[in-house]
Amino acid sequence: MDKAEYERIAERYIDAVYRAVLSCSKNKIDAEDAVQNAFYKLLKTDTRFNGDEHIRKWLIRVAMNECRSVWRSARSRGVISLDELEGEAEYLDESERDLFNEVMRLPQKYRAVIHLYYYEGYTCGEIAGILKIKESAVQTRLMRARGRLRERMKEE
Amino acid sequence: MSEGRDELKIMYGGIFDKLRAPDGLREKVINAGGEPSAVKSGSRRKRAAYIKAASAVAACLAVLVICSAIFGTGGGNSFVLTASASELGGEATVEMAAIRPVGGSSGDTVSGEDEEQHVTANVPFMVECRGRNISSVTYTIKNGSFVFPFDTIRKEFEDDYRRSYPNEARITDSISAKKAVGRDKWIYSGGTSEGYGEYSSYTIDYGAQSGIASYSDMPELFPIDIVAGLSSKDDISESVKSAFSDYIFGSSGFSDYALGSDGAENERYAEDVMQAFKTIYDEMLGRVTVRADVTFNDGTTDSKTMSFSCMDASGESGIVIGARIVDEGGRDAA
Repeated sequence: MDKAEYERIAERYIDAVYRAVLSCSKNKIDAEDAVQNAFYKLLKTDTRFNGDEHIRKWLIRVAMNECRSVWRSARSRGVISLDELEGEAEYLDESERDLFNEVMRLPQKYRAVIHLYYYEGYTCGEIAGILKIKESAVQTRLMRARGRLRERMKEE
Repeated sequence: MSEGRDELKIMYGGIFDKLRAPDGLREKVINAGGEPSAVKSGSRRKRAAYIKAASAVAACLAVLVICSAIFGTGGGNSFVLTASASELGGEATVEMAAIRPVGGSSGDTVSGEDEEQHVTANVPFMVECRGRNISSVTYTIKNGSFVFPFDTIRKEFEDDYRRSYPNEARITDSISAKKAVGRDKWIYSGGTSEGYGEYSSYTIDYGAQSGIASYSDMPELFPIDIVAGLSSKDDISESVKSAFSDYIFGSSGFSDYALGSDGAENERYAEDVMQAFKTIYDEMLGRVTVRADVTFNDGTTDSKTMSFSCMDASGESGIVIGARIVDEGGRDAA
């Protein structure tokens, strides 16, 4: 990939990749590391891509795997708070803040499918391919995540 | 129901639409075209600020020891083994990997309910050999197997990937992938684990080692796991037998609890199950040894043998697997 093409791709997809890793990272530093590692691998890979959408999926898949790698070895525990993202988030009203915080309190594996389904708009089959899990597992996680969110939002 | 889902979609989408990559990250990534190292340059510095002082000092000492072993006195052959970049020694156990036994990406399988309970662990083999004048390294395992999970990945996801990524030939080309890590020198032990091969030994060229240390990007994924198993019918103590019950009972609901943040009760539950994990993993991995035989460019050889243990286990840390040298071996002439 030449420099101009890389810059075009980076400019176009950095926000999408960043949002995707935020959904499954424990903290902002890990998220930024995952984004950098994903683009680093884009520069190094000799994968032949079938257009921009393929690159987008590839980047998100690699970045999320980076998150899982960090998550697997990380000894600290925590979730991203909106306070950490101050300056990067436009104004969120109270209900949006509540939803964001509740999503971030979900187990990582639920957050990832929630993001890919509700934000990226991927199908369960596509998510299964990205996360390398069975499609039925994606459906189960989505169902459980929705159930948990519903319960928690009712409690508040 | 679908109205609720749509509402969630709109609201969730609205939130994330408002999030943008930080300017510093954006600048670093976008301006790195043609300079791959520049993409990652800031990351390590930033992370370094988060490393505890004690860890930093320990890391520096480890680097010094490794560097002196490699580049220090004399110009002869030498080698050290490292676990997750820290040198292995006989005095202390070094952290090799942390895993989530159930619910994580790596883990184990549990089978059997009444007569016999059996636990199998997949532990990332995050060991690398470093040294001077080394040609290749042969790792040989006792009471366990090496597993190259690519076959499993290929088997389970090949169809999906072919549909989604028809040009990623390397995903389905396990032969070339294995060649990349010295596949021709792998010794198949005749065992299988959920459809993929287990190996009692493998040899890897010294310069090819970095290719197997990645756990992230699928096309470049060459991780090697140690697989070990333990049965409740093995010669084990009562405490380990008791842990089996806790383990089998607890693991069915473990993942949702241990990975969540649902309050003190679940925390306690997770801790109890993790203690059972620790007891079993300690017993299981305590039986495993790996011998590293190094061949130098001049044909001489040297070896070291390492053992493994469970250093820690909690809902917070997962299971922390450690390694240490138990036999420094000896040097043989060509």
